[in-house]
Amino acid sequence: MRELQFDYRMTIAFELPASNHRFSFRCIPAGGCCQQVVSLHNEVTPCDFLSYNRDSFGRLYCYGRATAPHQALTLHISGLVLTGLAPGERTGPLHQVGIYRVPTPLTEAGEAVRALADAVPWESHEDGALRSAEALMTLLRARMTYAPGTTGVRTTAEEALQQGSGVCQDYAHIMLAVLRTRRIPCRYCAGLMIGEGESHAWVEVYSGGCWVAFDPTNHQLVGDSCILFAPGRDAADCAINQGVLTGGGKQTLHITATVREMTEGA
Amino acid sequence: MPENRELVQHTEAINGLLARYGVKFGIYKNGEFREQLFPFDAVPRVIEADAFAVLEKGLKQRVMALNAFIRDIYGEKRIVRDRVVPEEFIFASSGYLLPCEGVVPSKGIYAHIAGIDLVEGKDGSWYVLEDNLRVPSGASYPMIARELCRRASPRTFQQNAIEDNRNYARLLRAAMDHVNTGGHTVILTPGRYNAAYFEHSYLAEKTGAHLVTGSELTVEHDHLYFIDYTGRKERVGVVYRRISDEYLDPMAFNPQSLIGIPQIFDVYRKGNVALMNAPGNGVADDKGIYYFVPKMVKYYLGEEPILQNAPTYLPFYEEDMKYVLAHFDDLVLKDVAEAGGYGVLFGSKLSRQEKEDFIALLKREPRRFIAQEVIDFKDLPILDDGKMVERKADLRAFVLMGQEPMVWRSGLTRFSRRADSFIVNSSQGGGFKDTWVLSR
Repeated sequence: MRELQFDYRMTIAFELPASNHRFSFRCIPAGGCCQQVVSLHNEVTPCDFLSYNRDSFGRLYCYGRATAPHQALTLHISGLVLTGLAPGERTGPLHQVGIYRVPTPLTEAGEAVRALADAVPWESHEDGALRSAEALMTLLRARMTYAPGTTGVRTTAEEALQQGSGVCQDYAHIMLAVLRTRRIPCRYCAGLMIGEGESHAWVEVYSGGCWVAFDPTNHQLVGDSCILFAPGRDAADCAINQGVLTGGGKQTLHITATVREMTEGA
Repeated sequence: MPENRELVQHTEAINGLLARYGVKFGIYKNGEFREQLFPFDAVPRVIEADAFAVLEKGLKQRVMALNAFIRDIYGEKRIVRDRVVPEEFIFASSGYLLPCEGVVPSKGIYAHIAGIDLVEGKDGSWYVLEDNLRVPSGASYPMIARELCRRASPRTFQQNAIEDNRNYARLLRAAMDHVNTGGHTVILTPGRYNAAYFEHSYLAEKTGAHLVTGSELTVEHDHLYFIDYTGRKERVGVVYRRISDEYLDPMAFNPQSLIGIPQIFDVYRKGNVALMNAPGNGVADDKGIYYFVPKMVKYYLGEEPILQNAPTYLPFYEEDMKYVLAHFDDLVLKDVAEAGGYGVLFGSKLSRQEKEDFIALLKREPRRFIAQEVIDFKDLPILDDGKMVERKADLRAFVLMGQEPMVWRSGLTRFSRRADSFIVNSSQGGGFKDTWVLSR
């Protein structure tokens, strides 16, 4: 268990003034059996109203509108979260997670994914999915080189695996694509990892009514080192910001994120 | 056949009036928008009172089961757990919309208006061909046709005991009011260039709802508002939307949509506005899911299905695939993703090469097709250039959900104008008739 203090700031800068901007942000850490939110502060500037709701994955999100012309819109969320409270997140029975067995456009298997799947020593006993996922992470480490800038947000699992490089999103997509060839329910997780930088992505694998988190980019179990913002089928489900607006021209995103462990007396 | 000679003499005049009132539907073909008249044949289809009573019971039962199915799929998924419907037919279906997961709409109703397409076999038994639970259209055509027929020949409707079908607007309004979460009632149209614009405006007029386009609605905080011409905001409690799911909200579905309302899905999720029909219903009216509807009736209601499906095979099941390959020439094959009479193939009409290619495709993508026996359905008499001829026809029956399911005692009878065609869809040049349900 860890006590993690996080601070996440996203600024969307517009080349031309934007107006009548309807936005939504999905980056509010959820409470569950693995993670608990102790305190939270969230604001969007500018905005006329900010409202909260839960989406189909059960996660809290905020939406609102900035009507008057603006050059930038900033979301700032910070808080204190307890992580690693349980080895896995409890969920429903298999028939309710079937949606996570179906490949999505980003996790569709091609030749490379199928070849990698053939190399996995699949195990079918009770926690076979977890053993297989571990073995798959090891295979991935040998096949992939971490190289920012070699892939984009729309790169598929198949494309990333073929070129042999990518970032956390690609590692996660490949792992999902391979597991789904065996119809193992698994989901994409977006959030923050301890340290400074941008957001992080990892994978959860369904086993015995629980989601167990693997971090293929760092070849380890996630444990208590990450704060979960949002699970989904793939990165497209977990896009942090969405918006519909008038004007604006070219948009530039600036993201800063810090997560540090609270130490005694701090 | 009840007496209709006087009425039929007015065929031309009625068609003239239909054209004048703008009873048209639009077709996009090769990137061009064309409006087309919907030819009306004044010889009515007649359904006896006792025959319709059976249909009515069966329709209510079917729509209750379909609603229970949609509620289950976006909730507990018991029917998947109990292996009545394989999950391949749900989560991989284009009609299943993940954002709808966990949403319980106002009063728990998903399919407020169902358009059930049926045909009558030569033996007098009815078969359901298709359930339309997304944005079923067509009720306005028999409504206005009846209005004009009554005007042309009032006597016909005095002499014959025919159920008055002018209550459709009242049923629709009751369905709207039943789920209204507090506020105005609006009909949302994509606008003037939509295929069914006549219907949108006509139903708005008849139900007393506001006819609006997406730009007149806006979300603020937790509610949906209608902005009137003075700029005043009024809360909206129910939206009878005549635009499809993917265009409804660019933030939840297709981000390219310009006709939708950003964030309407957010307030819908909160239960602060009713959308008719509910988004996500496509999971239940997919041609592949159709096969399972009689099973749903048994599963959810514990009753024997009153209405039967046309005998259908799912090549997804190995046994059915064998049957389909062995009886290929006797079957009609349908692509589950297509609608409006497209993607329909008659096995017997394919050349050898076409047949080989199709079977290869079928083996590659068995989930994509269903196969059905060709039903020998009853032809209906129509007046063609002054002569009576027989043509294929179907019936779209309308079921509306209020406190209880309500069946409209009429319907849209569409017929094929070509002697050799089984396809009756208006987008493929068919015509329509009034449907008389006898009251005794």
